[in-house]
Amino acid sequence: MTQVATPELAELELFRGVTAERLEAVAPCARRERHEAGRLLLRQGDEAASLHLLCSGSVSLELVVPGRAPLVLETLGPGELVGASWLLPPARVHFDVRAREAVESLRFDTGCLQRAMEADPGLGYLFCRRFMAVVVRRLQAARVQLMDLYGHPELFDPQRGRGR
Amino acid sequence: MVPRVLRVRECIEEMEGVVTLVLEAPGHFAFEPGQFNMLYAFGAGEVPISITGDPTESGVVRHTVRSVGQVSHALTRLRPGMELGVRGPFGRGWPLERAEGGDLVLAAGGLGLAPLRPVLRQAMAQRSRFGRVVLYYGTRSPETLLYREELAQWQGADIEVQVTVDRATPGWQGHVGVVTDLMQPGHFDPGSALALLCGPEVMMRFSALRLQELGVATGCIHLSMERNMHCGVGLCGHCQFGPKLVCQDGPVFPLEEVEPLMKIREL
Amino acid sequence: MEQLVIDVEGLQQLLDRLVQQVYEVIGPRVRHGVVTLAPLRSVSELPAGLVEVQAPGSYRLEPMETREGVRPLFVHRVGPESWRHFLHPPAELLWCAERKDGHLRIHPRAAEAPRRAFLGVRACDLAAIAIQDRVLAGGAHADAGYLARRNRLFIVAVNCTSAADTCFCHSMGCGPEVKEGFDLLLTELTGGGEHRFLVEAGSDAGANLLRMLPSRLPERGELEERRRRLRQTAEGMKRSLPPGAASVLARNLEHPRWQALGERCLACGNCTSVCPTCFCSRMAEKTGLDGTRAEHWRYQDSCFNAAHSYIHGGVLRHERGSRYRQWLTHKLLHWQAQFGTPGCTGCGRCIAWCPVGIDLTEEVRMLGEVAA
Repeated sequence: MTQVATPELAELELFRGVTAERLEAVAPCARRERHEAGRLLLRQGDEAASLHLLCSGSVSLELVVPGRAPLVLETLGPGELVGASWLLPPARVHFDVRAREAVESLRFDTGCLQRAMEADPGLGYLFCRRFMAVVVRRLQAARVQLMDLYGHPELFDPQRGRGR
Repeated sequence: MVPRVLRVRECIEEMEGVVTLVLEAPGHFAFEPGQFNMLYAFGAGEVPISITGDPTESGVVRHTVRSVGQVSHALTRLRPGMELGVRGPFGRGWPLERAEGGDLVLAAGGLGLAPLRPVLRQAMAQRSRFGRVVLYYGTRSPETLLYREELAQWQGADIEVQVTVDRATPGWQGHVGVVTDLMQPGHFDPGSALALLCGPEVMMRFSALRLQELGVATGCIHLSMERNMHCGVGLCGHCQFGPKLVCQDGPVFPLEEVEPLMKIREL
Repeated sequence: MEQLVIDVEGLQQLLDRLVQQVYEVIGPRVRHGVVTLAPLRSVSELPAGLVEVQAPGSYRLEPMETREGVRPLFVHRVGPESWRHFLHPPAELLWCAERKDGHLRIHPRAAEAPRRAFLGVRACDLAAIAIQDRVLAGGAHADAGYLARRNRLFIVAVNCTSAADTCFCHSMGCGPEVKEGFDLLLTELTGGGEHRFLVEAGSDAGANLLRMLPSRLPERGELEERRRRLRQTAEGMKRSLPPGAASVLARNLEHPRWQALGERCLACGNCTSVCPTCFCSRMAEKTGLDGTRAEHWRYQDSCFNAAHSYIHGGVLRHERGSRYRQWLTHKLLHWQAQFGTPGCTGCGRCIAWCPVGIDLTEEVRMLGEVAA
């Protein structure tokens, strides 16, 4: 686990356009981490103390169902943010996040991040917008997944069978 | 107007309800990747099915058919040695010549991989004609992967094959999520890329948006539309899509031509 | 073009000559209270002195006051049927398939087209035939059956000397005067109480036939009557399609008016049945009970049927408003892109035969006004 320098952060899409001063405030919250294949980055039910920004490799979001193999809901790769539960109470991790291969990530201490955002509402607003963008995109993707486009669309067409 | 009679040489069951028919076509069945044939099942009728063979392959013509209606059901029940009627090839195919020297990006959803298979076969055979070749393929679940063995062959032939499923099953090691999530910067050069899309309309719409976001020019995105074609030759009026007759003007269209139409509800 | 005058007896001789030349003559005849198109052999079978009084959602056959003491034969205008029913019939066998000893054989339908003569084709319907020529025989793949019937066709056109309330051919540039596409053209004259026809030939076949009829050269007054009647017909047309209809539609493909229309429209498809240019058809398979023979048929279809826009997974045009929009925008906007002409000739049949009286000219006007 190594500390992260501000110039490194400045190169990331998440921090595009963020002033050096604000990056200084955030940098202490971040640690560079490596995870071997199969390891959990986040664990369902835990306190949501971390947020990961994936640098390389990919992870799977898994739902743990007792008595069944874990259900993979989505896989995420480089550039993706993992872990949004910390933003709102009760701040518990919803899914297991497992490394599908060797993964490098920036882990943010969410307590630290939250303090920085509260101390500087401008920064807080900016980050909230960027986290929101991720959440909205995932929600849209989840809805498309839910449509079961490639399955049997006739079963999912709510208008089927309506009058002439 | 009357179909040619061809004999079924082989039926490959791709997955439940989906069969690839290999038909004996004496001589060479010339077609452009992206074109379709009208297939006639005796006593059931005719349906448009895209040609999924290799354009350089002699003596056969291939179609992948999913059993969704009476005619396609009858087609999936054909067995080697049986005969069916074929009219075609019809329609406008993929503008592959425009990819010459540049990158080729293919996005397929579900059975939408079928009309792109001739492109992949051609890219594999003439690999040096193109820069990077990337296939993004999204399907429902690991059991519904089409041309499973060929995916590995294409990968081995210097084609970047990226596969994702909507619903994973235990043991699935690949991506889970929508096909647009696969499309990431750095996979291809958006400045030189020609993108060919085939799948459900919603999937093509989202894919086009994502490719545009990645820098692919609208004029370099082409997609294959599906409409209710009864005759295949512009005479029956069923496949109208605004000013277009999909069977003749398409099924492959430049995005620019159909994007405004796709926005109109129930057109 | 040479013009000659024949009398009613000359018209009968024209029919006789056509029959002699082995044409089946089809013309206007009254049946079930409407003017239909049916085989005829005698001038006496024409709807003499009858007028089709038409308005949105209404059609009535009424006797007219005589015109200058004469009961004209072609004053009726257009009934629910058009020539399309003969040139592109509502049902047509395309091929037969046979399965025997494991082998499939497909036989084209014998291309034996009837030799027909159409009597009394109006300018609007002549324009409609020209449109169908482009649609069904003008592209890379011609409809073989249509082409065969078309090539054996003899057309006796007639100039309209009065317009129905539903007519708007003048604003479509299709009439009332017949300009081209005929073998013979009649203009019915009644001036001076004398019942006769001015005849013009539009083809060699027409000229040859005209030469066989007892005729004389027209007098100046007769040519003047022709001009006057056509001018009066054009001026008497109450309806018109607003200019720029195509661009009004192009600008308003999404508009609340379509939904309002959908609430009135019954999606009965009457307009598509009576339209002289509608060509949509579906294919259907008929099988024999023993499983050895099947027939592939083409049937007239309508874009108002739900199944018209079916693709696996469902119907694309659920709303009646969307289907009406499909029909109207096809006629007046998209037809142009597809076939190089509009798909409407202003015959007005769809207005009269719509059970709820939807008038396309009015709808276009409303769309234009609401948009403006």
